[in-house]
Amino acid sequence: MAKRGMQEATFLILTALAGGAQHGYGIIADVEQISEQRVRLKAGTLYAALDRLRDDGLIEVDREEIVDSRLRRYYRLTAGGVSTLGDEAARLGGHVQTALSRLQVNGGMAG
Amino acid sequence: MTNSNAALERRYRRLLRLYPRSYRDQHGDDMLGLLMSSADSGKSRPGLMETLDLLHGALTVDTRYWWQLRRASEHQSFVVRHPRAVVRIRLAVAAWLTFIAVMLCIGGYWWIALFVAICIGLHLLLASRAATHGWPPTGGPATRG
Repeated sequence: MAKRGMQEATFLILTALAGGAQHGYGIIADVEQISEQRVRLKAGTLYAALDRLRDDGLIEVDREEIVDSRLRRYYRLTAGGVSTLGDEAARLGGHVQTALSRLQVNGGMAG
Repeated sequence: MTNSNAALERRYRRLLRLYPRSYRDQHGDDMLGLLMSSADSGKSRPGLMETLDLLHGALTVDTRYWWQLRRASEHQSFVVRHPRAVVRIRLAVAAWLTFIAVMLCIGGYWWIALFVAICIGLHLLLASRAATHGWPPTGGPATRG
């Protein structure tokens, strides 16, 4: 599934849910914090992603609550979502390692 | 609920109508709750970026649902089985092409823009033909075109 690499927004949404079940507003706030205020998801983008992730079986509905007479649906990762996020994190981690080690080599040569 | 609140909610609902019905049944209330709770008090209309984001979301979802339907229906007499989906996707494509045409005009590529405009016309024509081909396909009154 993650052969082509995952979009950053998708990766951040799954990462937010890896910390526990959250509703839309919570995911937006969490993604903003994880990305150090760089990624601010909007409703249209977020729910299009949630709908697709649910179809792909990576997330599922945890529970629904009514707050101030408005619906809040909480989502959580499925087992498939956990392993997909793990694979993607490992893949990105590999890239990061390579980049850092090459920069170190070059830095050593320059210095 | 104040007047500006009611007006804002009405406008958000109107934007959400751009999404497929099954998607709206699934996420509509949740999205509306999020949009309303993150709106500043006294705000009476959605912001420009917010509107563009909802439009973009609707195009993305429409396109994906269309592919799902298309794969499920074995390519046979698709227009007859899912005229509503055909109309939606044609309108979505026309919207994308309009965006591209505007960009081309800004860039001064008039001839290519003209060609794209013809494509837009073709999509709108085919959309209207699909719409008259049996609307709506199954149950429920048609509320929009």
